[in-house]
Amino acid sequence: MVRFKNRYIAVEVNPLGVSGTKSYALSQKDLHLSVVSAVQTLHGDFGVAAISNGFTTKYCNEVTRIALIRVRHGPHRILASTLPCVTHVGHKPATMRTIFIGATLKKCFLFLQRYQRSALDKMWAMQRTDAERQALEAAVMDLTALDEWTAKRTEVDTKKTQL
Amino acid sequence: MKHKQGFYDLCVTPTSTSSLVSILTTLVELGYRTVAINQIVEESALVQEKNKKKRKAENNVNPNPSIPPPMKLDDIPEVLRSSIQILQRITISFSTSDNAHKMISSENIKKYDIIAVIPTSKAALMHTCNTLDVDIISFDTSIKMPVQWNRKLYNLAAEKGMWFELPYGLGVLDSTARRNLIQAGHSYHAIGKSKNILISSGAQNPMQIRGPYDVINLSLLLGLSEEQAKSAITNAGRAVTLRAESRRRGKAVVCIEKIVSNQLEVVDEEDNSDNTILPACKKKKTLG
Repeated sequence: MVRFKNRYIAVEVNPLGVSGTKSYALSQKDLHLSVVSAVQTLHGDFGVAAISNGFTTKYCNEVTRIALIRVRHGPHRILASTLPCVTHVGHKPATMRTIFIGATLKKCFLFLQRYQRSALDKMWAMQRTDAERQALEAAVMDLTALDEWTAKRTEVDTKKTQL
Repeated sequence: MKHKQGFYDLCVTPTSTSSLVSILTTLVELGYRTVAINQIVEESALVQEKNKKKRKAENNVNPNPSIPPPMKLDDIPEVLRSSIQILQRITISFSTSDNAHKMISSENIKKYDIIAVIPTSKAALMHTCNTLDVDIISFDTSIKMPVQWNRKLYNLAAEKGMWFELPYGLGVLDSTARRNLIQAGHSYHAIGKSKNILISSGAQNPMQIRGPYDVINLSLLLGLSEEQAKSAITNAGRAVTLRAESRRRGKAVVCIEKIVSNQLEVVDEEDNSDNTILPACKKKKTLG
């Protein structure tokens, strides 16, 4: 069986004026729409059609503003070249910064864990008490959204193969 | 001249010192280690100065007022200055060779590290490629490229070691600028196989700056291959700074600089008074 090759792109969402270690709440739908509309303006109908197979987005962590995008290998070039041109996320001016492009979710997950850990080290300097620190660690290292996403995806994929 | 590892952004155009600080902070966060602060001189400035001179009748103190001195860097925090190498760059926009000559021979121009030009006419382009000794040939993304390149001129400029700049700063926000940028990139690709391409931000605020890997992805749209795209923000930047250095000092293989610093002298004095512990490397420097 030939499997579909995917690319997982980890991006950091930077709304205007929010940088460094500030948190930002963002709905899943806004993220998805903003990426699609940027592709529409830069690559037109062809671009949107090319990426739309197997294209999903997931906002993973509000504290470090990490989002993960899954896209098929091939059209991922279209998407990657569009990401610098994203200027609005959810009607607010924002930019996106690519931090990692991986071929498997596992590698992406491992990278994110390391990335979050290093982000945590920076943020810890500002916290005073141990309780605060632990709460922050829990919030930053929380990548459960990713796990749920993976579980859901594998479920869908197995269903497809059964059919 | 020291070279830092990392990515190069050889054009930022801040409007004020505060915007410069915020731009530099963003650049450092994203992984850039060398930056050039740009000042643009339009041709119209020269003409205005001329009129003023006529009116004032030789009352000018500054002999070459058309080129401003480089931006002062005193207000930038020390932390920033130590983490990023800051160069000064001037961009001259001109349409006739007379004006170019006036500007290039100005006294202030020697204070800049990098000289870039924006030729706005066919004659200006010919003049740039044939006679001028500049580092970068840039263009304005807010208007359609006013000059038509041909292969002969392109190769001539490339052989002389000039670099062709594509500033992406406006292009990521504005659709017209993006079209001009892509068009220019493709014309460079068609004419000279994208030789000697340099990509820089040309940013006026932090919103226009993108991370190095985003820039690489973006430059795939500009007709560059992946290798070319990466070297356009790493090797190209290094080549430009080296070229600029050799233009200022003459051709050389090795450059030896004598470090004259007040701090080191102070260190020597303190050394005698035996109550300070010094790092070993500093001692070595004073000995050598």
